[in-house]
Amino acid sequence: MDSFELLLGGIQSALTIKVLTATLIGVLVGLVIGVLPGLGPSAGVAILLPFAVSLGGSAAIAALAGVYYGAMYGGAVTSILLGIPGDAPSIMTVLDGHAMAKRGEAGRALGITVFASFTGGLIGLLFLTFLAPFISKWALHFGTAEMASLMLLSLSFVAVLSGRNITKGFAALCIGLILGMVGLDPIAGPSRINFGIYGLIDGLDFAVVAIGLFGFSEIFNTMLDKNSDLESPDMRPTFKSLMPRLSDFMATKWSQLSGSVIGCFVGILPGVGATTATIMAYAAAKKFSKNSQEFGKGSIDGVASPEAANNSSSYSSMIPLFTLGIPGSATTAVILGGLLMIGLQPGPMLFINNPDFVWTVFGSFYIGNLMLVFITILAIPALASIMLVKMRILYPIIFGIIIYGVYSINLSPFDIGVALFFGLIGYLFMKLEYPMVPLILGMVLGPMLERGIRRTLIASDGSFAAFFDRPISLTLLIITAVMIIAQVFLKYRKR
Amino acid sequence: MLKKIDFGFAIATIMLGAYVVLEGFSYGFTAADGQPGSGLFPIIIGSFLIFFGAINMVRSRIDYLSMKEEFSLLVTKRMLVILLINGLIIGLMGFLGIIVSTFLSIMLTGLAIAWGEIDKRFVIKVTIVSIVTTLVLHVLFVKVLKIQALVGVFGI
Repeated sequence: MDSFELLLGGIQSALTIKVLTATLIGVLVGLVIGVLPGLGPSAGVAILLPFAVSLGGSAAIAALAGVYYGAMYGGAVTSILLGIPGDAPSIMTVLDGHAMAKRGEAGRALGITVFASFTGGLIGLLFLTFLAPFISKWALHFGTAEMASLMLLSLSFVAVLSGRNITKGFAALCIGLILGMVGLDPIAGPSRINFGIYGLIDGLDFAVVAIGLFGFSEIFNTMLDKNSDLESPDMRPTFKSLMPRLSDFMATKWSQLSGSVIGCFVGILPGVGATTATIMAYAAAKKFSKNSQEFGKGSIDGVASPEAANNSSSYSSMIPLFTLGIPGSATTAVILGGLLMIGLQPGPMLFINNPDFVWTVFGSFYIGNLMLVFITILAIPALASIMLVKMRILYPIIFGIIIYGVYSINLSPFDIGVALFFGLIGYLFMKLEYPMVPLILGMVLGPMLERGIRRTLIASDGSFAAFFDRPISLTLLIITAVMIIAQVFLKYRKR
Repeated sequence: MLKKIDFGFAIATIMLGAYVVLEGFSYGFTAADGQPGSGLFPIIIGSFLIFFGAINMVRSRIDYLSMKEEFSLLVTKRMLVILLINGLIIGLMGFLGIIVSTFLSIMLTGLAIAWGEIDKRFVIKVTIVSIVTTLVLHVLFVKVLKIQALVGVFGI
């Protein structure tokens, strides 16, 4: 039997009350978790783990995976409506999604999120279904040198994401890389760059910094904008603007497609994660867009591309989990725990020994993806009407949401103070025209880059030639060099 | 005003870079066995930050980019008040507990945002919003998601 027939059989098997209910519960919990700032999909999957395991069999994994991709959908909601990323992969959605919402187009922004998430999810699922075994073998060729080179390539996007001042972009990137270094050294162990502050010994939580940078700073910026009286009429959306538009789906098809493909490939790589995929997808969409100057000011392509990448990577990250038994992220690690708890050992033998289980789970993913489209489309007008609340009421509420959201990450009031501090830094960044995205990029990729470089150097007895000896690594480095030179050259020529 | 802050911020980034480089040297560029040490990455990145910070500092002095925006004294004061209030509340969170802290943060932030236009009706409205929001958040995070709440001296 080929994969298509097996999949049809899997979908049929998934159409039972038990699996459908488990999937529905999973996606609903995921949506709520995704909407709440601070709580990411890994926390959601962990919270539902005891319940899901009690269901047993494919229903358990259908519920856990439902939380995962449900959270990926939900993360965009607060990003767009409140300017607070629900989770790390939603950061890129804040840039244009919230700008659209402030323009009174919250419904359009949420609508394209649903469409792009569906497209990304579908393409990710097709990857998972048909290419899983082949891609897993390819991904195994990615050693530490290749990972480090890929991180360097991702960092080279800084020039694209820097706006008009490239040196401020690079300074922001360096600050992000330093923030990523705060805490325990990933190789040797001792605490570094902690400024003598006890609370920083373990490092800075990425979600805390992101919520502060984007959430609090947005509040300060709008509140302190001399041209905004906090009741400005352009922020009052009409009923029509609360509705999603089908025409946007067609208008952004290429961004969705490119984002989905980038998400698929990046999601497979262990440890790289959806956040990197969204940053790369956004940068690629901006680079190749005819209206690149609109990015950051409310471009619909700027919402579609990272959302597609976000969701496609959530499915493709399950490829190494199912085919090799390697969890590529914290969330898939918890799902791996779920698989082990119901008595299954993921890996190549899973497809041979338990084909019914695997294909039923894959079938439930398709059903869950479709469920999310209907649930979110029905919920969009209600969600988008948040923008009807007056800012002087809405912003204090956001303060409350951030307090609970940030506290829930590590149960630490210190983290709330850190978020507040980064709110002030984010506000200064906005006013002084330092781009925030390179900072986030550096903080996410920095630890992976450092780990990759140091491990490669350790393995090669300190020789940098290790990065150039391996074909994939060398190719990535050449692309990186060409990209940086071309971007800097083009930027300065424009002036 | 903004250009002065830009200059000051560039200096702050240089100082941060210098701190990271110095810390990096204290961890060691190479480990005892000759392998790359904990200080390798901090020294490289700190040096880059000093370099870019210096360029930004020079640019801020020669007015390379003309920043049109300016800070308004009134709104800056308002932000400082909000930062101060919330900083104080967060500092006292261990004593007040998360429920009281969140309630106070929402209410006082609301009052600070509406500074100068506060009337009795708004005070009642923002108080009700603070109570309802805090309770909804508490139920959602603590009761539903089982997040361990921070309990203060009032027992909540």
